[in-house]
Amino acid sequence: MKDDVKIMMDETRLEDISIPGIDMAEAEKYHSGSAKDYLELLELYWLDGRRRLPLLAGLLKDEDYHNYEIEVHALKSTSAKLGAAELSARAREHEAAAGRGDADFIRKDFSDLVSVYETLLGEIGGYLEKARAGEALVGQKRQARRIDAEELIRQARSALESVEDFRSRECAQKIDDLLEYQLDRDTETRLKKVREQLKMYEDDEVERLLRELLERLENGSV
Amino acid sequence: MSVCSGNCWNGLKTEAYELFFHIETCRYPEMQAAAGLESEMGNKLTILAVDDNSINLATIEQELKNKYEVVTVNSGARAVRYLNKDKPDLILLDVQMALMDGIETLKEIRTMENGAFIPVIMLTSKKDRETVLEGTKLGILDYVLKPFDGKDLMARIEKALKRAGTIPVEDAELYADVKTVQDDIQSGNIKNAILKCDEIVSLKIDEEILGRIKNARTRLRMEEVPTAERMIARVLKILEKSVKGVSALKYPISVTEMNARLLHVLSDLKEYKVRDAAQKLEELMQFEIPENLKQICVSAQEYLDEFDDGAAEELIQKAMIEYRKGLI
Repeated sequence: MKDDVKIMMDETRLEDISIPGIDMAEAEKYHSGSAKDYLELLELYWLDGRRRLPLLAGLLKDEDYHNYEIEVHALKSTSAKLGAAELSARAREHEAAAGRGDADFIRKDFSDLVSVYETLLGEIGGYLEKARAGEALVGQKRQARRIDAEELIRQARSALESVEDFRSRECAQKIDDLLEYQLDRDTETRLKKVREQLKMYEDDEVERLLRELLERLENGSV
Repeated sequence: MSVCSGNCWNGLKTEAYELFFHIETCRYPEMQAAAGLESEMGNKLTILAVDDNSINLATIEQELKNKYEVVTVNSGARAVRYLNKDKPDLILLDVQMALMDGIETLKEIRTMENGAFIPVIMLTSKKDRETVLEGTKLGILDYVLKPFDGKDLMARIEKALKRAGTIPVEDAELYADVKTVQDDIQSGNIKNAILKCDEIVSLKIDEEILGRIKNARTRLRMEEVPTAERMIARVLKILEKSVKGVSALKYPISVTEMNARLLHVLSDLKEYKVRDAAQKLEELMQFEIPENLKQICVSAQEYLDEFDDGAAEELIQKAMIEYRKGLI
């Protein structure tokens, strides 16, 4: 994420950001950092949304209102932090309903909540896509370098050691470095998945994915 | 004053010369370095942030990364794993986590060697207040409401680190705290004054001040309120100078006058006029006297409070000798 939105970020100011569903004046109340930092959070929010939407539906289907309450609580506070006031207010209503055991309200209002959430994620996704414009050019230059299998294994193992030692940022840097090489499609896809999980702070999953990749590399499966 | 981490108090009691050297090294960091005393703030302090919400973790990281080394983990289990190998300086712990919640995690942390006494700040929402109360039983130092403001979070972390004795307290802040004790004493709220003293002695402060606050607290507990009040007033006097930047004392004094006043104090002491001697030292401190001499006057007054006029007399005599030698 740190590089994905770099090109626009360097020039963008917080007040220049305009996304339907987001009140930047509200966002500025909580965000004292740069526009680049804000857009990093926004990308996380977008990534998190892809996970949270089916999760909420699943919890509702299972009538697991305890965990539903936890998830909408998180949605409420992160939405408020990023200036998504309308969604935050709706999530607050669902949290309150879950707290008082009002399953009727949740079921009736769920599709509306999802609709607002999906629309917002769509707007954010569109904005981030524009921000990534130009990335492809830089990407082409990066793909020029080659790496042999032994060095790839050494660097992947080093990245695993970093995350095992709770140095996630260092691990992310090592993965970014690896992604600059010319890689086979499978390795590249796996490394991109690792990078995405690092963005989401899913370090246990990062460890699992890297171990899996190393096993495949060492067995010569790729 | 905040750079002093040695025991000035012992220096005063034992050897005046050592004291002079010590005070100078405290005032001038370059001398401190030459004396082999190293700063404890050489490395960035480590904050362990535990939250299953990636946006919260990213926000914490963004807010704190310039000042602290931030280690982020997204579950209680991973926090426990980290504490098995390392010891952070403070933990930011989310209350509402799906798998292992904040309280469960904290209970586990408190059983660990690296986590038993670590300062913890809970990240919570308004509805978690009961959980916060549970957290206080497990020794949390503070809680921060989500969504949080970066500056507020930073301020609370600093406050918690000060309360935990990890970082020193600035003189101005200490002065305000001690002033609260004085206000409480003066308004007859002795219980609050003792509680405030408890809070101050948990801070990382100059040992000389620490000793004085402890003494004052003991006096308050023994219901010797006037003595405690005098002790607190002296602490404020000591802190006054560094807080105000320049000398808080208003009147210049000649060497002859200073000597004469000290001789009067000695004369009172020889005649067992302890209170008169203490009063004269108080008057002397209203003048623009050297800082070292001021420290000696305060210490001598404390001896007098304990009716140890012999020690006070010895201290003043030594001070006069050192003064003549040009060491003060």
